[in-house]
Amino acid sequence: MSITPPLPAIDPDTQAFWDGAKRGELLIQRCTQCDEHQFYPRLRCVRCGGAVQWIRASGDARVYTYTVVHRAAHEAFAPLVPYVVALVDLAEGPRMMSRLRVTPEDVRIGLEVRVAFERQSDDVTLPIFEAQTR
Amino acid sequence: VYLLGSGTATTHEAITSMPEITETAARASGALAFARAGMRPVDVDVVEVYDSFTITVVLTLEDLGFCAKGEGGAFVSDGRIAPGGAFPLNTSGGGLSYTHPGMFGVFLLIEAVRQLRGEAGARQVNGARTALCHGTGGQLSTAATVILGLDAR
Repeated sequence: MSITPPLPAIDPDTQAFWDGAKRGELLIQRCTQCDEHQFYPRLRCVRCGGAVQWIRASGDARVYTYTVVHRAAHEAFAPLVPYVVALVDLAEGPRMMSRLRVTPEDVRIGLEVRVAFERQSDDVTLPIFEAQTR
Repeated sequence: VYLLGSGTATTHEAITSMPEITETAARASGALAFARAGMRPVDVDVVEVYDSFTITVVLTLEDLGFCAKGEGGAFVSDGRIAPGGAFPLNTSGGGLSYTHPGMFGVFLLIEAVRQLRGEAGARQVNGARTALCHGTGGQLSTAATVILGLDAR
């Protein structure tokens, strides 16, 4: 992409996640008390309030729902249209929003996908998802 | 114009944390408001709901009980919500057709009061005695339902 897309602001709560993405690792949080996994990153477990630790997710996920974007929300995304934005359910449980590297023709609810990474800047690498190949 | 009942509810913050993506907090806020007003959806003459997007309206009407889950699309079809239609909805034109300056919710209340006072001019719903307003906030996260009427209960 020649035009830089809007990038997320990195803060102390999310620093570990972005550091992981730069290494090609999808990090999520797990509660040290109740073992619940959560994403997006938060200070404490939203289920029981316990302390959380970062773990590396398997990267396997399944499409919960999706939409196809035909009109780019930002000029940086114009070369990508039509592209797919989805909610995917990670194998560990949490649901996250991501762009899919899957065509509108091929995407469907329940599609098994796996994380991949796209470098955007020195600081930000974005996790995206692509179809699992067996 | 009297406030007959109201209810608020919140289900999540980020859309990824929404428990069920086709069910909004309107279900809980609507149930509270109807219970406090001692009314049912069929008792409402004019409906003003926040319309950030088309889907917001469809989900809201379903969750408030005006139609069954999954039937909202058919419910608003065939001119039912058009001017003069059987289901007076967003009679000002709504955020999608009239204006959405941000903080649109107060416009819902203003339009409902105008309808109940008989001050709505060419878009007046004849005989309107009750109205429901519903606001949605966050990412389909928070809901507030207000039921207004001309008769104190």
